[in-house]
Amino acid sequence: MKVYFLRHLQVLFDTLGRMIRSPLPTFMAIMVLSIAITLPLLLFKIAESLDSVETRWQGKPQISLFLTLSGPDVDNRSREFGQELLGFHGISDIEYISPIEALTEFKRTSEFGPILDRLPENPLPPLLVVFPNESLTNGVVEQMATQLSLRPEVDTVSYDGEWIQRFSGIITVFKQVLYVLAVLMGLGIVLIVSNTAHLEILSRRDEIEIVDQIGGTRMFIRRPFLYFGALQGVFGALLALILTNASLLVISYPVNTLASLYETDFKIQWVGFASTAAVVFAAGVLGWVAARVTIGNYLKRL
Amino acid sequence: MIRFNQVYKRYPNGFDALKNISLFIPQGSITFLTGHSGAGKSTLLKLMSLSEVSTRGQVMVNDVDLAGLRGNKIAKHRRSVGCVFQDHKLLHDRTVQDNVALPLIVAGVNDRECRSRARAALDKVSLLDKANRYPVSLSSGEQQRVGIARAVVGRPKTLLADEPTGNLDPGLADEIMKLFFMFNQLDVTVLIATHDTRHLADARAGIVELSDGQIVSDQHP
Ligand SMILES: Nc1ncnc2c1ncn2[C@@H]1O[C@H](COP(=O)(O)OP(=O)(O)O)[C@@H](O)[C@H]1O
Ligand SMILES: [Mg+2]
Repeated sequence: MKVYFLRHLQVLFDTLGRMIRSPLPTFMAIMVLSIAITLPLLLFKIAESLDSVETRWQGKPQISLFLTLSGPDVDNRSREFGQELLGFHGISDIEYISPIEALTEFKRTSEFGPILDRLPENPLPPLLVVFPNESLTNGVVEQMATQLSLRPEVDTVSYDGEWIQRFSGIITVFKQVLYVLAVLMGLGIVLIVSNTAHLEILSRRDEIEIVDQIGGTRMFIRRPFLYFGALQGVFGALLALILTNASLLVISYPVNTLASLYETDFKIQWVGFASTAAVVFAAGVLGWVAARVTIGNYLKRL
Repeated sequence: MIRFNQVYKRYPNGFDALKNISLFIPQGSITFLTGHSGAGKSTLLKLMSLSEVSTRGQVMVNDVDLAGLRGNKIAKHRRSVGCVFQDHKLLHDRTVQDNVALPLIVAGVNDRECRSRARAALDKVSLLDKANRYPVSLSSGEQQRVGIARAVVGRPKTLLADEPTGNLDPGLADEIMKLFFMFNQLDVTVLIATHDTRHLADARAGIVELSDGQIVSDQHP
């Protein structure tokens, strides 16, 4: 048993040694593999990040009602209207933002402060932010928004559910494309590794023949090629993870800047440890399988 | 012990390389297999190492009927038969010692024993001083001795050699033949295919002559 493990280790190191001794073809193969893995991985990370944005927004859908009310007692009348709405079915909370508050906030966050100061009167309407029950579906919330827009007190309604829906639709399509890409990636790994394994087999066919002649079992003959395939997959995946994280680093700065403009806490997420382990494992297994099929086919003809 | 019972071999192209071969070679004997080029000598040896399978008839080596062997049993059978080839079939990216140790590694023998047995086998063929060289730096005769050391390192009961002196000049060929007789002394059954008639005079050896795939004479000492 000890001998058996030792032999496995020897084959592993022997295979590594072979790969290092022909650095250029090895590197090329691993590079091609890593590119095949990087693309879907990168898209996956982006989808994951978008996903977190989507769920965060979907957690608190809101309808903004810009009111027609004006005059000196605008605050009271607006609040009364808010109280009335709070009694409606499906509305969990109401927040009132007075024209003065809105103006102050607007001055604070924009560069129009000095111009706004010069305006004779506050142009901003009173605003009621309606929070529907979180259990309501997008469709119901949309109906609610339409009904509220019919009220005379309401000037315009802005409801962000519509584009959230569109957004999540896009993400769904994106994810489906991703599944297809993941399958293609798996296929790509298998094809690339079986090609390089085939070349490796050809370059070692004398050895295969001799070992077969002197009584090496099929398992013994296959072993170095299985390690070869698995190692290629693993190295390809590791390089792909480096490439992916590097790409994420490159796009994270503009994306984070963009996100802060929209005041979302959207953040590019690095490929975590669990995903890293999963990708490396999957690529290793696929490499192993590819090599196994290739050497199996070759030995059948021996 | 080697036994052939009405064995036929037809190659996929329809050529009958062996026709109705019946043969008995006792354990511990040494036998020359001779005949013109194309007579079927190599084919007969290949049936014994299962590089080819007979089309009809029974081949027994070391009391094992080869017809029923599959998968790992074939590998196990090959480990019990040492083979020497005309073109040596050495691995050029491994040292002489590693080449000789290969059958032991394949058999799952531990490193220390591999080393000591490979060196003992190299000592028998007088090449211990070249254990760490690579085959390319050896002469053809030396390479063939490495091949013989590799064939005997696993202590097989049967040793098969296909034209082992084919590429060697007479002096070296005699040395190689001496080695086969030496291993035969250790109760190894030796079968040597050769068309070199010089060695056939040795009184200790049996002679089986093939012609066009059939046995034309079978002499025992
Ligand atoms: N793989 C093969 N396919 C077809 N014919 C073969 C094959 N191997 C050998 N032969 C033919 O079988 C005959 C015997 O070959 P072989 O056993 O190599 O003879 P020897 O070793 O006595 O010279 C020859 O005529 C050869 O052409
Ligand atoms: Mg021949």
